Amino acid sequence: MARLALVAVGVAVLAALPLVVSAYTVSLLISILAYVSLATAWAFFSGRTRYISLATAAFVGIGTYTVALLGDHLPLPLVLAIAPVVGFAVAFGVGLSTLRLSGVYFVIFTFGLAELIKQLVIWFEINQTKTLARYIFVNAGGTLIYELLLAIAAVVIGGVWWLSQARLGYALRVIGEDEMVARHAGIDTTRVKVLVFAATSAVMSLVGAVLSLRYTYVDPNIAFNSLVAFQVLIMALLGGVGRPWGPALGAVPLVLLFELLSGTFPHHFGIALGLCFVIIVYYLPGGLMGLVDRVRGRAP
Amino acid sequence: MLEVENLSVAYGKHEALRAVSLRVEAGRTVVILGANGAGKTTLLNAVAGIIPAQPGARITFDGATLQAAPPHRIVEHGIALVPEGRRLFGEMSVLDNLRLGAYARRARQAEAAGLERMLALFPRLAERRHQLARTMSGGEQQMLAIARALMSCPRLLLLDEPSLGLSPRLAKELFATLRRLAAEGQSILLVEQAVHLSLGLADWVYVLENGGIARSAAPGDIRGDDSLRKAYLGL
Repeated sequence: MARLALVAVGVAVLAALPLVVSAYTVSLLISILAYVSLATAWAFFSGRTRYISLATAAFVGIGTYTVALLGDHLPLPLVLAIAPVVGFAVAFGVGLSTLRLSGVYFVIFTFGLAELIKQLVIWFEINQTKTLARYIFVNAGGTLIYELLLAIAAVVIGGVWWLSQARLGYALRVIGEDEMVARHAGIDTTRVKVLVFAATSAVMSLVGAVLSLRYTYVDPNIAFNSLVAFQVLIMALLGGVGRPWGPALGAVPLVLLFELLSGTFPHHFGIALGLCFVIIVYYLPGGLMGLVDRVRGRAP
Repeated sequence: MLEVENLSVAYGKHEALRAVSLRVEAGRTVVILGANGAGKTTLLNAVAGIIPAQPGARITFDGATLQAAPPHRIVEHGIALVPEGRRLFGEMSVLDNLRLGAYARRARQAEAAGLERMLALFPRLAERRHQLARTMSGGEQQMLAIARALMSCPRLLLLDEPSLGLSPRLAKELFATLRRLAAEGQSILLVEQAVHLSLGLADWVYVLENGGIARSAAPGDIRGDDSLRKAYLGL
């Protein structure tokens, strides 16, 4: 109970932050919160089941494009409600057809899927609507975006924390350890995988939709930026995928680092990013949470 | 209880099982003996729904048709498999492994009672309940694998070479446990290479050779049949 109260106070303090910090800080916090949700959602599925998805950018982009297409015609709350539904539906279909693939085939497929969706959107815009970019005229200030993302992050982390201790969390871990035995244990592995993949993808689409409110201009290459998939993956790895808090802890320092790098070395950002990947995978295989465990002398 | 008729399984062009038929009556222990590669594991995996059977097979369990059902459905019908090589969730604690055994809907209500029963049946597991499964000895791991399967409240327990990799003393202990389960009325279908121990436990024996049933007999007849022992069991 005391812990819950502490978390509530923490969220309240975070919610009040825009009143006291600068607009630049708010925009930095927006990035952090967005990646916290993305990394937490990604790790809940991919970290546990070890079905590594590189389709994060596809679902974020679906959210962004939902706003770009519908933002002028429908009220904002409705658009924000539609985005995760679209993400869920696409992920559900993709999941049904691909989660039977195992290991590296699934990884490649999800990466291909992200590119495919991007190319389809480009084709559609060029041939059907004769535009390659869109303006987003939805009126939303930084504070609103921040508060929305804070609410999403709180719900996502809370949900993951709660589900980790529930039957479903165990089922996901067991699928990652030995899928065949998981089926022997009575787990309908296909159902669990497809539903969780779709639900976490819906979160990504919602985040993408809210994030799009800070843009005034999007094109498919911005909305479906495949780099996002790798950034989210490395954040989750840095934090450690085994714990509900891990990915969030990984997202904070890396967003700050990416911000610093893209500001300081705008032309060598890719090189710096690659180096970060190598260092994290090589020196922190269990993530930060794994490091904490090792220091405490406990098995992960 | 379990009736298997005309069960054939092929891996590509290789026929692993050819028209196998067998039955297990309720409350009985049936043992399938056979050398490596005879098709014993394939048989159990086909019954558990892991491997699809060729068309024409009929697997029924108390009247319910099983041959096209997915594994988690078969668990719900009351069949649990202790897979070859134990296949525990090594990074999880003993308790978590047991709890996962009760994942099936049929077992959820009875999870607490089942846990208590397992810890009483296997005192070693009670001592090590918070230990990671992979850090236990082979014998303890085998006990855990059996306990995990029993957590799903199976009416029929399938065991795939549980004595594999155990010292003779541990194997004996294991079979004493199985005998106790059988005495409590647990129906068992056991696949083994440990002939002597298995014959002591069995109510009925099938001998599997090259994917087909070579012999179906009471355990006493197998013991007395020298030619059979030499030909199929390498004794």
